[in-house]
Amino acid sequence: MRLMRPSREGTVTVPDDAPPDAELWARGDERAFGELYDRYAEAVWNHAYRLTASWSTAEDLTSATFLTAWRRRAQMTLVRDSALPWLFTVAGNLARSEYRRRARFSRLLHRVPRHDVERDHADEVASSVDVENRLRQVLEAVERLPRAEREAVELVLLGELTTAEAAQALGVAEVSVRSRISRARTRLRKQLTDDTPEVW
Amino acid sequence: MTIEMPPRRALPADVKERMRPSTAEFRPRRSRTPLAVAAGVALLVAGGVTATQQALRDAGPAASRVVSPSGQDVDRCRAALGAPGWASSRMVVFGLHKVLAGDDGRFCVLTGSKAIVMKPGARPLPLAAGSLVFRSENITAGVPPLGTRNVVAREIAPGQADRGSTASVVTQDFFVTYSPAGTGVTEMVFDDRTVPVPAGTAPEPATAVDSFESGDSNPRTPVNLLARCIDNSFTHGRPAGELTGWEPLMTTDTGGVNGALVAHRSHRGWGICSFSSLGADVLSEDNSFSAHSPRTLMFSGFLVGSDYTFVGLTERSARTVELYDENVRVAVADVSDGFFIATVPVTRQTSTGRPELGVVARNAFKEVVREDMMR
Repeated sequence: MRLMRPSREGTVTVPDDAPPDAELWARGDERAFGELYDRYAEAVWNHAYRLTASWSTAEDLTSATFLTAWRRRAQMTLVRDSALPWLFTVAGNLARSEYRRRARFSRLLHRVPRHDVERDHADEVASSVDVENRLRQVLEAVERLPRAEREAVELVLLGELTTAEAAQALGVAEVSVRSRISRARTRLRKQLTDDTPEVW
Repeated sequence: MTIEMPPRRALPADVKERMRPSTAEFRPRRSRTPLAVAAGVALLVAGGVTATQQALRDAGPAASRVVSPSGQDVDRCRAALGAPGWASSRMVVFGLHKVLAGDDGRFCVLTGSKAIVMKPGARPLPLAAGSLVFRSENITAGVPPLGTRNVVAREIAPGQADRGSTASVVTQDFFVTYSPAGTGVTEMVFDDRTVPVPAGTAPEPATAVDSFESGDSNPRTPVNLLARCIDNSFTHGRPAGELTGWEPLMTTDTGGVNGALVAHRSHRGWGICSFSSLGADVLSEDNSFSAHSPRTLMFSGFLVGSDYTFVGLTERSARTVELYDENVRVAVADVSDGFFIATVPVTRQTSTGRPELGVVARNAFKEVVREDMMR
C-alpha cells in the first residue's frame, strides 16, 4: 500500500514517493509535464468550472491553462512545492482575459445550457441547476470586484487555496490577501443582497 | 437562502484526455491508446487545440506582432547560443531587430550582422511580479505577470535624463520591450504597476557575436560589410524604412584594413560605407548621389602606403573612367551608376592632401561623355 501525502481533499492526492512538483517543474520535459497534468487536471478542471459555471468552457480553460504552463515552464520557478496555486492563477487570468475580456463572459453565463453535463437523477438535476444558477450570480458579482480583490476571491474563495498559497501566487503579503478577501466579502454581501454564501 | 460551492467532481478519463494539451508543436505526440480509440480522441484533442489556439490568437494586438521565425533565423540563434536543440516558433520584430522567444525561455536577438544572446548560465531575475530574462542595449525581455497588457523598461538615474523603452509586445508567455536609443533597467512597469529592479541585480547585458543574415560567416564579404554598416546606421537612429533593400554595388579590396563600399537601393538611391580596423562605419548618403552632378567628385578616400584609394562619382552614362595626373594616365576604372572606385599613386604633395586628377569618362561606345578635374 502506498502512503498518500495529505493534500487538498477531493482534488489532489500525491503518493509520498512521488517526485515533488518543483522537481517535475524543474525537469521541464514532456514526461514530467505529463505527470503534473495527471496530478492536477482534476483540480484545475473543477476550479475552471467554478470560474465559468460551464463544464464545457471549463474544458477549454483547463486545456489552455496547462498549455500556458507548458509554454512557460522554463520561465517560472516554483518557490514552494505545489504548482496548484500558480495553475489556479493562470486559469483565473485566462478566464478573465480570454473569456471575460471579450465581453462574452456575461453572455456566456446566461447562454450556457443548464444541462450541459450528464445527471443521474432528477433530484440531482434540480439541485445542480440551482447551484449553477447561484454560481452564475456569484461570478457576475465577483466580476464586478476590483481586480486585486477579484484575484484573491478566485483563489481563496472559489479555489479554496489557503491565504498563504494565494499570497505566494499573487506575489503579495499574506495580510494583503486577507484584507482583500475581507473587503471583497463586504462588497459581495451588498451585491448579493439577500443571499450570503455560507462559504463566505 | 445560502449557497454552497458546487461539489468537486471526479474527472472522467475521456474528458481528461480531451483536455490534455497537445505538445505536438514541440514533439510528436506519443500514442498510448489503441489505434481505434486514439483516432477518436485525436479528433477531440484537435478540437481542443483549435479552441486554445484561437484563444491565443485573440490575445490582443500583441498576437499580430508575433510571427514565426525562419529556419535560418533559428539556426543563427542556435549557433550563437551553442545550443543545437534550441527551438523557437515565435518572433517579434522591432525595426531591424528580430527577437526570437525560445521554447526553453531563452531569447535571441538577430540583426543583419549580429546575434545577441545572454551569456551561458545567465539566470532570469525574478521580480516581485514577472521576471527579467534578457537585457541588451535596445531590447528587454522576460515573463510578464499574468494578464499584463503593456510593459515598459525604464532607467532612472540621479542627475541623468530618464531613459526607457518606447514600444513593447506582450503575450501571455513573454514580453519584449524596445528602446531605439538604448536603456538600462532600474525598474519595470507592468501596466500601472512599477516593479523596482534593485541595482546590481539585473542580468548582465547580453553579448553580441558575429552572425550574418547572408549565411556567410566571413565578415569581409561585401554583403556582410554592408549588413554591418546598416546595423550601425540603425543603431545611430536611421529609420528602418530607410535601411532596407540595399545591395552592394562595388567595393574596394575588402581584405585590406581600410576600404569603402558603394551600395544601391534599386539603382535609385546610393550610399557609401567605409570600413577600417575599427570596423564598419555607417551607411552615408550625400545629396549629390541622387542628383545629376555636373562635376566629377571624390569621396571616402584613404591612403595606404603611397597609394590613394577612393570612391568617385561622375557622369551616370559613363562605363569607364580614365584618371590623369598631370597628363599621365594613372588609373582606369569601371563605372556603374556613375560610381567608380580607383587606386592611384601619390607622387606629389597637393594643397588638399588628396590627389588632383583629371578625368575622362567614356560611355559604352567609348565616346567621351565627360572631361574635367575631379573635386
